Amino acid sequence: MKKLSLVLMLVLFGVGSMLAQRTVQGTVTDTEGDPLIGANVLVKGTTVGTITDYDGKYSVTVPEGSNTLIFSYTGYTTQEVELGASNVVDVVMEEGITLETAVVTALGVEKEEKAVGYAVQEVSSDAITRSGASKTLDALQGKAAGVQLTRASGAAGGGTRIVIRGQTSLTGDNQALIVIDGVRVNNSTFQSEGNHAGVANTNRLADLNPNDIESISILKGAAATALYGVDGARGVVVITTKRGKGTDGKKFKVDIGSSVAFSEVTQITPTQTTYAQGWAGVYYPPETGVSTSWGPPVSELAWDGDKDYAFDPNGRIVSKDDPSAVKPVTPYDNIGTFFQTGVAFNNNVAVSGGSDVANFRFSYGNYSEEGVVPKNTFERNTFKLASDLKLTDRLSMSASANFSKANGRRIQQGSNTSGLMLGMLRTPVTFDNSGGFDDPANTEAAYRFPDGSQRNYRGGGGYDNPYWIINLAPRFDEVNRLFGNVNLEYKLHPWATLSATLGTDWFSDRREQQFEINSRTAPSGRVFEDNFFFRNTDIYLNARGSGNLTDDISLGYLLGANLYDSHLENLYTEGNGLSFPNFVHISNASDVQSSRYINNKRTVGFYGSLDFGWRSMLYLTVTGRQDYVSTLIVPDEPFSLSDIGFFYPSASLSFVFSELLPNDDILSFGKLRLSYAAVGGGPPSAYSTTTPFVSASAGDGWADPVSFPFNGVTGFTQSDNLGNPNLEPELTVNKEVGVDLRFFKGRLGLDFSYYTMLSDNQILPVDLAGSTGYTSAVLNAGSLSSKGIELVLTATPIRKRDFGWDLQVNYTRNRTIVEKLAEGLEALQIGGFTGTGMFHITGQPFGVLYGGAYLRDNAGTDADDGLTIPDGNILINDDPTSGEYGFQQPDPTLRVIGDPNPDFIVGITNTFTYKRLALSFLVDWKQGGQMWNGTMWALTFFGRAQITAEDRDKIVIFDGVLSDGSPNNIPVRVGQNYWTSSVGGFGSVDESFVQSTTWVRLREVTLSWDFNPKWFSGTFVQGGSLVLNGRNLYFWTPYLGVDPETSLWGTGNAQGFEYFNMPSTRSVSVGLNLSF
Amino acid sequence: MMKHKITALFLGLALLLGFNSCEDYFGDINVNPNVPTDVPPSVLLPSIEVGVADLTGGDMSRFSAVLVSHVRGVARQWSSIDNYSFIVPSNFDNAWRYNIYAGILQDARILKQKASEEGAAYYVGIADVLMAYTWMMATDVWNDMPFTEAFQGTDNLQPAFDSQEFIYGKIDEMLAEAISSLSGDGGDLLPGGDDIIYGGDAAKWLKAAHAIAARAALHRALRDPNKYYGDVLTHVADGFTSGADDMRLQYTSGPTSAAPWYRFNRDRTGDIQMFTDDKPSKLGDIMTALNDPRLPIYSYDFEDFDNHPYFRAARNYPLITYYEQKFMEAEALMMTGGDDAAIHDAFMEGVTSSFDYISATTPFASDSLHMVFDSLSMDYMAAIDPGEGNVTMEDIMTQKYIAMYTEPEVYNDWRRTNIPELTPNSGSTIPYRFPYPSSELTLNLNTPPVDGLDAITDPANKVWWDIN
Repeated sequence: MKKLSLVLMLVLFGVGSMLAQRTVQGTVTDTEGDPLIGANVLVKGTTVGTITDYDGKYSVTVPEGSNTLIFSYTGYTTQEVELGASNVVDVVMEEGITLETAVVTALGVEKEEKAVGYAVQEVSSDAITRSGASKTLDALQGKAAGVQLTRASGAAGGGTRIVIRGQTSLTGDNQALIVIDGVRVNNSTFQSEGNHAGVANTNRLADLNPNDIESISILKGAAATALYGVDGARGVVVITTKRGKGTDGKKFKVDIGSSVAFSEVTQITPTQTTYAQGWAGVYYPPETGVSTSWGPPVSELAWDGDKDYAFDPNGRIVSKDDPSAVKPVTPYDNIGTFFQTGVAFNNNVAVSGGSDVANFRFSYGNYSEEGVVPKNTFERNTFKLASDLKLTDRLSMSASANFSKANGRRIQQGSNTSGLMLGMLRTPVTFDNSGGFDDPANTEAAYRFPDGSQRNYRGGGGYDNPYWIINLAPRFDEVNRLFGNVNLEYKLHPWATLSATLGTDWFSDRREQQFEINSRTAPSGRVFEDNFFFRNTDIYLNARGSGNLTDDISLGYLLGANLYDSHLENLYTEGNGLSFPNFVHISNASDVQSSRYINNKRTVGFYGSLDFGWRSMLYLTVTGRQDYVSTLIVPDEPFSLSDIGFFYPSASLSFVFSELLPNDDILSFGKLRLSYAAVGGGPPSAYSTTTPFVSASAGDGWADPVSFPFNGVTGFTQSDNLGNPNLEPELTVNKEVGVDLRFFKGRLGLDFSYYTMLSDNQILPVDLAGSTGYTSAVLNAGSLSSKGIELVLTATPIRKRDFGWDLQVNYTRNRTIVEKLAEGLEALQIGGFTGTGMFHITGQPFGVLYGGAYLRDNAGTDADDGLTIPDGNILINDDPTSGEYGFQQPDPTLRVIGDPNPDFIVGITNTFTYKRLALSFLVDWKQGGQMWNGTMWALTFFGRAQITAEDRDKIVIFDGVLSDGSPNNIPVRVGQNYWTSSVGGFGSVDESFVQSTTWVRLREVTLSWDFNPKWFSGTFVQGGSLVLNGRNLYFWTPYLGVDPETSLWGTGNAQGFEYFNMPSTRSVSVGLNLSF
Repeated sequence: MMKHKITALFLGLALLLGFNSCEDYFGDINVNPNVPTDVPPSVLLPSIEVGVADLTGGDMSRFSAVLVSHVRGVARQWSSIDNYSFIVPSNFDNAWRYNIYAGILQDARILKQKASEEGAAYYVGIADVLMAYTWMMATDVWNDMPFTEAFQGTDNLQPAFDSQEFIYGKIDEMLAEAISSLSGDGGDLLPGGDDIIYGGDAAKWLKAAHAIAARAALHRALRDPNKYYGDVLTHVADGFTSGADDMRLQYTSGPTSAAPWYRFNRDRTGDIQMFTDDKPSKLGDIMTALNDPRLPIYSYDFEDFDNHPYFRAARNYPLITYYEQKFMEAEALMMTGGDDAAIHDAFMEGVTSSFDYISATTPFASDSLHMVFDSLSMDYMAAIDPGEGNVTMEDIMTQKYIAMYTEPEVYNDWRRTNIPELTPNSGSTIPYRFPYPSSELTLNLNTPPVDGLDAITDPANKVWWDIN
């Protein structure tokens, strides 16, 4: 297959014939005579076209045989003009709404917007490139209703999660399917470690250069995506990439763009600077290993000036009254001084050209980022070639290939003794992580003693010094990827166009994690190599046709088959126990273990769709798809196709009711949408139908387990997870109603959708009681429902020759409820720690926070459902012999303590244009959603959280009641005793650390300036622009920690957990684009 | 012409996807290439053995050792376990679910079945020994457990609980069957290097079966002293004849094959110590009073895990030993009115062989230190020797308590005999048992509600044999 596509590329690239042609010129104006800038001019039946300049002028080379030009402009009625003898064609465009606008629907089929009976939203290439985001998903923020995007962290190369219309699967993938030029591409985020630790990994859509995107169509409901089969149920992002265009008489066109961005950390969990390392008010120096900052006030301490003291060039810390005191201690800033200004360069060049029979576009992009964390880098090189070839009048071909290479150098994060923020935030202010050096990131003596041991605030134990982490615990990765497709289309008959599309996506992702000897995670040193190899094949064969049966009735059909095959291979090799330092390499490990994992899946689907239209008013589409999935096969048992196949239908109706209304200057267009769709699905994971044997390990959860081979002996155990040979397909049913209204000739538009979703029979691993002989089994058990509202408001309050104002508001509201887990199963953990985490709980929203609460007087009474926090007063410990006398107490029953799902999300984009200047800004407002502030929870224990300094000597009487029901009257000191108690940090109450993640942020500000082409007349330069951009410049949130737009569990289903996450960034960039 | 060719091409492509024999097209794609669907006995046995040793030396050992005041929990969760408040259901999921039911017992059942099919009698016998050992360790701390209805997967999600008495009956059956299997011919398929404990030596397994049968009888002695003490003596006669017969598992110093206490001290450094200034342990007090030369070996700083002489990575972990058997023999002789000389011999042999175990397996820094230890041992044994006719239960159980440092069996001994007398670390009662794990409590509604501290310190919830 690879050879074939290479040959095709060569053929396509070699073609470039130019036939006899003429040049047509003219001006495009509105009814008031003002020129229209940027109107599209296209030679009908070709891909040749241009756009008008600032004076509304255009010039286009019309190939022989063509005699019609199509003029279009957003907000104006499209016109077709037949060419006469004259080579000058001036056009006056009328305001109107472009109902003829086509939208890209499933399988890349373009449909008239008015004929579509479900919600589709498009995002243009301009909106993407001007967002200043280096990765496609980040560029989509706030630009479409129903889409929720979450950046995992601000680390260079970090991933972003995309969920459309809420979750549809309890434990499977909930992220939207990504389709590029008709074939699906992998957008996985592979983890090498548990989600709560390791590094911020990239989601693989990042391998696509946003500059190569022509448009994005977001298909939201199942009716829109039914033809994509199983994976489409999660919503589909259909990306169309740029292709070569007619180049106005020139042989080819070159676009170059270059930008530089500077970024800085936004906010970090507040920490105190008042108190020294220590315990019970007594200073303990680093060599004691004391982890906490419950020491005396820094103001009472002094350095003794002993320059030979290994832990601090200022000397040992003594009381300021001590005779050896020479200099008062001033607190060190281990946080502010650590981060740097991140710098990212983005350079792009694209060459395109074409004629009426062939065109091509080649682009190269280089993106190179050094993050706000020193030595955290991410680099991406992309090469893309797209070509179209018209072989005969009936037969055409197109192909595109995208090669990318991404390299990262990443930093450990999260719940991990080598996690960057973990060590950094816990460091007492009396210890200088930088060791007094000006450039500690590049000075080994800052973090490493001459004997190779680590210099940190806890002597021999604890957590890594941040400078140690960035230098001696790096993760290197390299992704090499090729994806692309070849498409063949043959017009057999007006009623039969045949097409075949072959897509493929190959990549390798090679990772190496190093832990130098004396790293806290692996004191004897560790190195692992984690290699992923992925390959898929996606083949479509389609036959389609359309036409008018009578003047009133139109008919269209599509029949097709799809084959999808994927193969993922993972080879993991870990070496432990390095023999000597400064060579962290697998060959230096004394103990090497290796594992290999392969995942194969295959789906074959047959589908069809019928479109009926009546009088430009009523449109009905029905679809059906029959899928056969490999994951339902029970190996070693004979099966017939019916065992692994299932059918599901959809129907959607569009009713353009404005056709029934008299022409009216107020309501220009009105459409009602109705749709129903069912989508089936097989087991999300391969191999769920069998119970294999696996390499054994033994352990108890307190320490790393014993694993096999054990001292050279191999050991296997039957898998604890019981496979299920009797699985049934899952079924998701979607219903949607929507209305699309345009007023004042399209100057104001309102698009509203309401949908419901019920996903039943979900296949998921269900926990079993150990006495069944297994710990879990795969069962058809779960059920999940969603409902939601989407609202898109578009307005053009002002449109003048020199000045325009456009407004778009996207509103998203979704509720996903866990309707049912397995019989007898009330809670299913999807992430988090033991005791605090994200759980699915019957009757509760998706993935709620579940953990410890305060004990209340109603606990255990009838008012207590045993699940949520009961009403009532907090019970205060009134046992005078208790060490926690006067404190609240933990409820022994774990409770639902928070909901990470937002109430609603609003994105507001305002764009102002003045002559050649355009200013746009996007305000992103997320209301509601909670997160467990695990960072603060932990930092209170260590006496590092800001709150522990504010309250350290405060005497309070906590709200609550005593055991006799009377109001609490016990005064207590909120100091070390409190924060290290069972209701403090690392205690069993989490309720008090659940905080709202509501935010309002200035997501994007873009100021662009298109140069006057007159400046370049006589040169080879055709035009250019300068773009200033700011991202995430400001946000407001009540959350007391890092920017709450973060997720320790990365792009996975478990959201709402913050535990020493990497902080987010704000950035400004400046870019210059030129075309030749 | 062209048109037809192209049409044919599309039709051909369509046929390629055609579904004449599409079952073949899917072929083996859902066959898991990563893991086997069947394995031989030789790879099941080592995982079961390591599972048993890790269970014994892991959770069972640590929780028991805190309860009998061998050690003290001093930091983090272990300071709450030390005052019993954190002896909660969620701490026992690992042992019950992963290690015992879905691990050791499930695999041993499969091993036994495969071995039976292949006529591999020794594998059958070993599987029975390991199952009996594990069932006993589990029921001794949890009392009633699902037995008859267990291991049925999704066919029975909520297995009923069987009484401890019933389970002990099954343990007797397993051991009797094991003794029979191991006494005859092993068939063609024999264990060898895959048997990490005994290297395939069926004679030693036979002795171990008897030693375990003696332990099983001893546990029930309160229920019927005459019968069960008699059974103890019957079995010890066929049991171990020296420390060389001990049922032990040799761990190594590799990071993934190190002994359980070492791994705990390495990964949870500082959570447990034998005792501290604030938190004395009964064992520490007794050994200090007796000037026991084993004390510095036992009480070496747990935080210096790499150099701990007892809890080292490459520990030869005892599962059941000659010294335990000798103490069992001494107790049974005494309780059945045995001969004074025999009681004295068994008692002193128990102490001696405990010292032999330490002397043989402790890495002393130098030969001279080793000699000093051996010479102190001689002095010590002379000092604690009560003389023939004067051996008391107190003597036997105290020396057994010292010899079996952190072995889970000590918790059984203490519950049976109340020797030594222990002071609760907190409250007025030391828990009589472990709570049921939270997974079983939540997922199997047949689980008796023995969960909180109140329940495990309630005499009504004592295990069946504990009628002391």
